[in-house]
Amino acid sequence: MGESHVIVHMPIQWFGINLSITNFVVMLWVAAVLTFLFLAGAAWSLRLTGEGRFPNLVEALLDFVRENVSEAFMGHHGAKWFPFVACVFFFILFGNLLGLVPVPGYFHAATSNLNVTATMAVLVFLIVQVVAIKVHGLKYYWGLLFPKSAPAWLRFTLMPFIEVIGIFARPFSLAIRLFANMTAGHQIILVLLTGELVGVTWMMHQGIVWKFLWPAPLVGVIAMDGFEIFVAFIQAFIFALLTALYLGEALEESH
Amino acid sequence: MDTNTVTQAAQIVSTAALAKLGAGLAVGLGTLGSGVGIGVIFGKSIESAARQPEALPLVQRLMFTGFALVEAQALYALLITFILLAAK
Repeated sequence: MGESHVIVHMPIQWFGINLSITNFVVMLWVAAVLTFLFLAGAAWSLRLTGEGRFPNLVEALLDFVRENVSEAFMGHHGAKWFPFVACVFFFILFGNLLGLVPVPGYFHAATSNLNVTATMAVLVFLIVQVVAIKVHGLKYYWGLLFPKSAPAWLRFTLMPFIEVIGIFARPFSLAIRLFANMTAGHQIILVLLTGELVGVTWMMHQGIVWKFLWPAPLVGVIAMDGFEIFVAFIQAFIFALLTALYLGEALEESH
Repeated sequence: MDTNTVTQAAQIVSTAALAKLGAGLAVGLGTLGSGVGIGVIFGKSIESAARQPEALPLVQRLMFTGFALVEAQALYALLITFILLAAK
């Protein structure tokens, strides 16, 4: 696994909570600034001249998010919640993509840190709970923990435990899915490169076939890099999709 | 001689070695279910796209959604592997 790549710039301790400025914090700021520049820059450029290639790109991505995430999963509430879902999508997208920039030792995907993904997951969880209470009141939990669709002998005995686990499994799975996807690709590339470093001298001393096989792990690294770009987009899409799904579930029926 | 098999095993090999063995088992068994899931998802998507080519955009969108959700299951096992590899 190797040692940690956290570089502390400015140690800050606040009542025992470690709030130091590390390189991951700087990566978060860069991701936030990039999101703002990407979206607001497109709107500004669209206001100056009514067309352009960059606003076109941003509009294509926003349409993709609106059509496939907001409207598919939230129905008619999609218009009101679309800015939030789009912000989640673009922030996580830039957080993922920054890990692909090859500045050694400093640049990491902000979302390859479990703290960052756990914060996003807890944020989504709290927003869903607050929205559900605002829409349905506290009897939302009654309907959730003792669902009417369960048979009567299960409804008050076993279902509450299963539903509580289900409620808390969602933020866990959101956080771990994003974190593990980002870390796994990075780890595979590291393993391939380390193996190449160690094995290339051995390969050069073998027969004629081995002497030509040494670029093989590097081809694997290039393939994994391409796959990581794909995974970055997919994971941002999935996080936004699940956010919209949970929000849509909390908002549905009697609003 | 105590009857706990794990303690007996830890007297022969170290706990770090047992942890690495567990790490290998974890990721190996974890990717089994995910592999079956991905195969089913993509197989059904290809089949439904072949039956009704007009449904391809919808099927593609659902396919990528399903793929990411199933892949996450294998990565939960990989997370346990990372935790186990760091044991001493």
